[in-house]
Amino acid sequence: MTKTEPWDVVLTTRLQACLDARQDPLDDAELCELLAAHPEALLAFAELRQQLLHVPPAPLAAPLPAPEARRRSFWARPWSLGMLAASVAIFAAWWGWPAPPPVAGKTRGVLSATLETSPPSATAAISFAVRERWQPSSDTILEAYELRSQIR
Amino acid sequence: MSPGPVPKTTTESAFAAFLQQAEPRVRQLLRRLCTHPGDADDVLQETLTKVWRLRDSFDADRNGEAWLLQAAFRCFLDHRQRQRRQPAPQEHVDPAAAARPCDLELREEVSHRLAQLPPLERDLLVGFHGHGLSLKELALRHQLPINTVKSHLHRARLRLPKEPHDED
Repeated sequence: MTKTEPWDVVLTTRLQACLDARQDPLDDAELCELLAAHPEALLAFAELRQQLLHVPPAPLAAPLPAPEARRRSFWARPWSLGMLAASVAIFAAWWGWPAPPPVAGKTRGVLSATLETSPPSATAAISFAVRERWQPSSDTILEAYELRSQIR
Repeated sequence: MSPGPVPKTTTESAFAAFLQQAEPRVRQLLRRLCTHPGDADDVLQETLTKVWRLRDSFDADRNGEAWLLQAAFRCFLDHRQRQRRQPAPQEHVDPAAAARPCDLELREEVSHRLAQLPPLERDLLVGFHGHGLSLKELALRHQLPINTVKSHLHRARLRLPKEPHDED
């Protein structure tokens, strides 16, 4: 709230703040001064104050369920459990769980190696690619080497 | 109807006529400000006496009604201050008697106005002013942030007194 704001904005803001704090606006000296300086607002102010003092304790709408209850109801829905099961299945398939049975035959070491010739240059003579099988297990250590070229 | 500015050539009779014309608005204001109608009548008398004494210094170029309402408001504030300084009378108040017919009429009118508000605003207004629920309690009830509750409540308050009624 700044002094450059119009008086009616200041009045409304101050009045609402008083009412929010359950304070009688007539106990706010600055608000009273503002009202006295702008008597054109007096009738509307008095009307509002009087009406708010006479708001009847009418029945209220039923309260919304608490957030905890709403979270529980989400898990209780069948489709949410289905979605959860599908997500787990997709994740397990991607991760390879449960682990596939070990492949018969060679399970470690170099599986294949290809030699790719490249045009002779000043520094590199050949380039090649190596493929290895990696079995995920508790004692597996993955070591990767890369040799891009061999010096002449 | 506004009595408008008082003519520059204010005579006693013209000023009296102006007061007579403007009195219903002043009475209306004081009836709304004062808790008891008797107090409103006292403050009205006080106001009329005060402005009669000031009639020579009255600026005819100013809005006469605004000047009168301002004087009435100041008299009301003085009256309120005096009442607060006095000890409260030790008398038994019967709750049934305390609900005056004008209060019941006003409650009915407020109920009618409330019915015209959107449901959420009505519920917040009734909860806060009718049941005395806090902003936090209302926020929990409606699953809304407190600032949102405040915004709705402020809007509801401003919408409530749309059509000021005349009591004269």
